[in-house]
Amino acid sequence: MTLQELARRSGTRLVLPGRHPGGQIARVIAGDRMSDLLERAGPDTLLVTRLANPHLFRMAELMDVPGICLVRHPEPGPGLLEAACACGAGLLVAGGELEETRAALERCLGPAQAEARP
Amino acid sequence: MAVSFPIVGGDFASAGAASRGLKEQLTRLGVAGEVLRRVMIAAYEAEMNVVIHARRGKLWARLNSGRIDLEVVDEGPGIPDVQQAMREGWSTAPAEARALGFGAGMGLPNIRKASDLFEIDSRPGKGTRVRSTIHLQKLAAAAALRNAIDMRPESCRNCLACLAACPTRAMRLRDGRPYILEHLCINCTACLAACRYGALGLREENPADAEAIAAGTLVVPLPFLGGFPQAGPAQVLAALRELGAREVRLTEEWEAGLLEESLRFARGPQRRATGPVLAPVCPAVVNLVETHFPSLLPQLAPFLSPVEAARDEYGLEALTVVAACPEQYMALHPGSLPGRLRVLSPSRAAAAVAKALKRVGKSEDREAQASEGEAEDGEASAAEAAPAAARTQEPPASSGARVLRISGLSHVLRALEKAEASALAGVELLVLYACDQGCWGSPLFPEDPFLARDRAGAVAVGRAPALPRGRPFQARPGQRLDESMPAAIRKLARIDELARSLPGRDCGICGAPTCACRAEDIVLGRVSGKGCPLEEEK
Repeated sequence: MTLQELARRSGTRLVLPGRHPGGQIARVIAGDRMSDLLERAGPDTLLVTRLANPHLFRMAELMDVPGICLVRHPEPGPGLLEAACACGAGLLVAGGELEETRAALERCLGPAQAEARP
Repeated sequence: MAVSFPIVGGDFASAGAASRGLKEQLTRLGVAGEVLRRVMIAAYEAEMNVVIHARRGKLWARLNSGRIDLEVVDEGPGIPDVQQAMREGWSTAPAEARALGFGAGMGLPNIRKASDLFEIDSRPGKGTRVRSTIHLQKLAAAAALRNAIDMRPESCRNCLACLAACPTRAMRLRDGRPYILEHLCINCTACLAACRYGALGLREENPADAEAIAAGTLVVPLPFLGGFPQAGPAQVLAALRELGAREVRLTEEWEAGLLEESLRFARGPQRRATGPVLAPVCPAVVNLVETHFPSLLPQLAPFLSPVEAARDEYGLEALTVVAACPEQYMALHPGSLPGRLRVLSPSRAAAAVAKALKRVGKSEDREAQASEGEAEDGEASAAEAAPAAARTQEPPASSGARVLRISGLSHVLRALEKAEASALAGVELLVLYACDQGCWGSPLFPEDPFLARDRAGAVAVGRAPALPRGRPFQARPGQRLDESMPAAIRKLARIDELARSLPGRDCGICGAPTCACRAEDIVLGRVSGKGCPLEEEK
């Protein structure tokens, strides 16, 4: 499922479409520790996190992550947007809490997420 | 190719730049996918450790044929207790780093998980060096190298027991950490059995044990059923069913079929070699023949090993196998077949069974006893139902065949030497097991082999058909010193000369099992020393 479609279905706000708007999201990974996100991140994952800092985007770039969803963070500042643009990942913003947002996104992915699991 | 990138300690604004530079270089060279992902995990975690903890450092990367070597060296405070630092969740990161999401104590464990080979060397007050090796084609490389031994260097006490135990001299200690020369390793269990500190173990990759057991058909070795002091085999089978296993079969079913077919081959017209036929029942022994006794290759019966036969019989169906040793693990590695195949270590499967046994409780015990009765009546699954006469512990000698069974690597080595020297007259079938008492003696089974055997002795085993090998057995160039024969001869001469100059104590203090191995390591450039470190100190 594309990031745009996921945003539309989940009610999250698409701030940046990312460098590859056609990229497919198959898994949602939520967490607030960089190592946890790093270990599981990949080219088919959407990272859901409270970590609204440029390091998150640099890490996402290294791991070819197609999208990031920031929770409890309705308005990312210019510095964050710049980092997001530079890393090429799409950016969603959700008003809810971490687990709540993760669950909502997973519900939207539905069968796609299930298929992605080994 | 070799590249390096500086890392500035405390500079969070530039953190990640070294890893990004490395990624650009590797991408240009065509490195992508899972390999690149693993390299990035290792590089980024190591880089952030320098940024968070050290004054400065450097990330080195070397792309060799088939692998990427990363090395991150820093000038920092060092790690007083590396073992503690390797524990998940242990961290000394400052609040500044934690506020950014770093410092969760997962950095070093993540690097280790992402690496095929991981080493760390740290000196308090001086700095830390982290090395990570990642194979470009992990599965293919692992299959070719046939190594499934996981090294946990943080647990190593430098006792040197593994050096002395390895029958092929594949073990080394480097920077005080265990290291395996994979081209020499035959994936037997000698080093695992020798290590008392948990520094060596079976590589683990399945995240969910109970889920794997419930995936479909489960194949377990007979020693696994006998490995529970608190429960008999029938109760263990009941626990496995409780965990969701649809069908439970025994590895020994395929072993029985293999032995029967090997004997038929030994007497058949298609046999060309003289001397006893070797039944390829233990894949570590097959490795030993391929590496050290290539002249015996024609004597190996051309069939798959029992676990390989189980794997191929189920093809793309869901199958989970409890591996009895590292070589079984390699033969069954999920990457080796595009089906739904999972491999579990005995310890992880046993942990799941132990939990299930508690749930089964007393009433289930009675049910299990009833099931045992059913099994003896031949009405339950194959593992429970086959006639006792087919038990593999008994050699297929009913027809008067001369079958010689030998277990334990030292005995196996002597038997192979005798076979090579044509000194086993009259033996038709040679059945060799690397572990003492066969798979019963694998160190991956915690239970005493005699007790396990006594407990599981009542279980009847069926007979599954042996499957022919698609690819012939091949000699492995493990001991070759050089591709070029003249160069190999020159190196051999230098090794002999250097070995003569060494004290010959074979003490292992240099990290090599013998002085001859030390000489070989020096001449082949595996180590940087010039002689015996003890003598040099004097």
